Amino acid sequence: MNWQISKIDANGLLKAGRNLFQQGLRNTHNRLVMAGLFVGIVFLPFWLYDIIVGTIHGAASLLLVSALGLGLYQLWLQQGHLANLKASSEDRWLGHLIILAGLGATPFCAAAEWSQKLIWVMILCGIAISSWGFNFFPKYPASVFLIAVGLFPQPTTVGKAVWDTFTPPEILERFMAWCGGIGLNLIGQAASVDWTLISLPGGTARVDWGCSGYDLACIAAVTSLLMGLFFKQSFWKTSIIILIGIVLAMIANVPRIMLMTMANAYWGQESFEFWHGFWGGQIFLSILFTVHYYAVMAIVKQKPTKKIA
Amino acid sequence: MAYVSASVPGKLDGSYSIKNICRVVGLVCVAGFIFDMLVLTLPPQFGVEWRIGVIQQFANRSIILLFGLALIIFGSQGNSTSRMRLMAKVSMGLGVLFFLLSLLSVVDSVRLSQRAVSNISTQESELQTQLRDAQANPEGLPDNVNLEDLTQFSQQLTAQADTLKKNAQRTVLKTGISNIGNLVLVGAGLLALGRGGMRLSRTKG
Repeated sequence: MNWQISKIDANGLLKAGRNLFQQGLRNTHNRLVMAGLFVGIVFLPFWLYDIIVGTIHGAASLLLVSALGLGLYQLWLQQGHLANLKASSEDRWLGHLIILAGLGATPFCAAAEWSQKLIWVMILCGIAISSWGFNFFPKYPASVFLIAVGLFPQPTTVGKAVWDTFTPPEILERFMAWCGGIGLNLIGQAASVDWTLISLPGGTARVDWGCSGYDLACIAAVTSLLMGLFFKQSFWKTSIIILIGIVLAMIANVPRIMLMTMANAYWGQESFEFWHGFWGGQIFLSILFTVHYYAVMAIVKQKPTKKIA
Repeated sequence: MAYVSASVPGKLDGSYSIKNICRVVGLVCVAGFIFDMLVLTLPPQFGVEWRIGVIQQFANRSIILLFGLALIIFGSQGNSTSRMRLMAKVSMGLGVLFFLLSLLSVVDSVRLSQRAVSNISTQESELQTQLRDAQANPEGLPDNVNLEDLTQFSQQLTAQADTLKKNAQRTVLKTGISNIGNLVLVGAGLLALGRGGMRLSRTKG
């Protein structure tokens, strides 16, 4: 059954693609849309390469691809409604202007992945406005948001830059070191904390940005958002799920820091590298997402209370 | 007996109506903005620092441009469909330009931040080299300085350089984020204004 659906969808996609190509050169609007889509097709191999390389090195690129896929899938399900949406003359003019500006800026933005993505997001906005009108955005906010998240360039780098700019120096690292120190003292270790350094009698470990839990919290937040949308939860429930994801990620990071400090102080370099590296990270992620999954499912299965009239 | 001339309401309305006042104020705002920007940008220098400074001034003053265009479009309502349509299209064009400028602002902020960090690193490494040279030739050291002091200087230098790098990055990024925020917000406002103006010109004229 699933196979049949995917086969039909694949055929539908091919047919739609063929029709689009045939109609692509018929009028100015179609030509501009085709030119805009062509820019995305040209950049796509570079993005795919980055996704594959990033995923191999442990980046959460696939999560963003999932967000993009879910957003596009939701739009695909609305294709009947989309066909009925018509752009007004001013929207068409504005959309064409945005596409033309994007096409003009493409050669200057081709050097870096982030600028390629930004310019293509701009072109996509132009295509959407000129094809379906500006009302497309308030009408499909979830899809628009997911596609924007999926195409957002280097979210972790941007997130770190914004965090560093607007928060006191190393606040998250200091907070995590403080929590780790308290945790170690609770289990009977004589730990002392100085700024971002946690000292045990056997050695000292520094909580760096990578261990601050920020990346983990971001991944948990995006995963929570996707789960909330996938299970068709309300805005408030999705917000609660996201909040739980972030809090759980922060809490889960504390034992990770404690373990790494102890590994550094007592068990040697090899043990520290294991817990600090890919496999250690995966073990913690598995535990975190298992707990997170059950917490999300508990919220999802919770029936809404009915008001008695 | 004094002669009181009969009032001509239509003519008076035409000359001194609120829409005319709006048009005048709008034109003054737009002309003032253009004048300010010409004074700031001429002569052009095209360096990253110059561009960031100009974009910052441009972003800070852009609200005047938005306000002026809104007044002109409002003042043209019912008077001149073609002018209203033209101003709406200008507004949309400027909105798109603002978005492109915000992209340029991102590029410039990143570039300036990297340059600032690189300059600090170069100075730090020059000083570290001098310290290493001094450590390699302890006989050339003054009497009140020993090798331990040099190690301490080196560590302090590294810590100070790190702080300076972070401060430089923070300052550049703050300016960049402020510029981008202003440009994107006013850009979106200009697009919405242009869209509304075109719709008005189509429906009411």
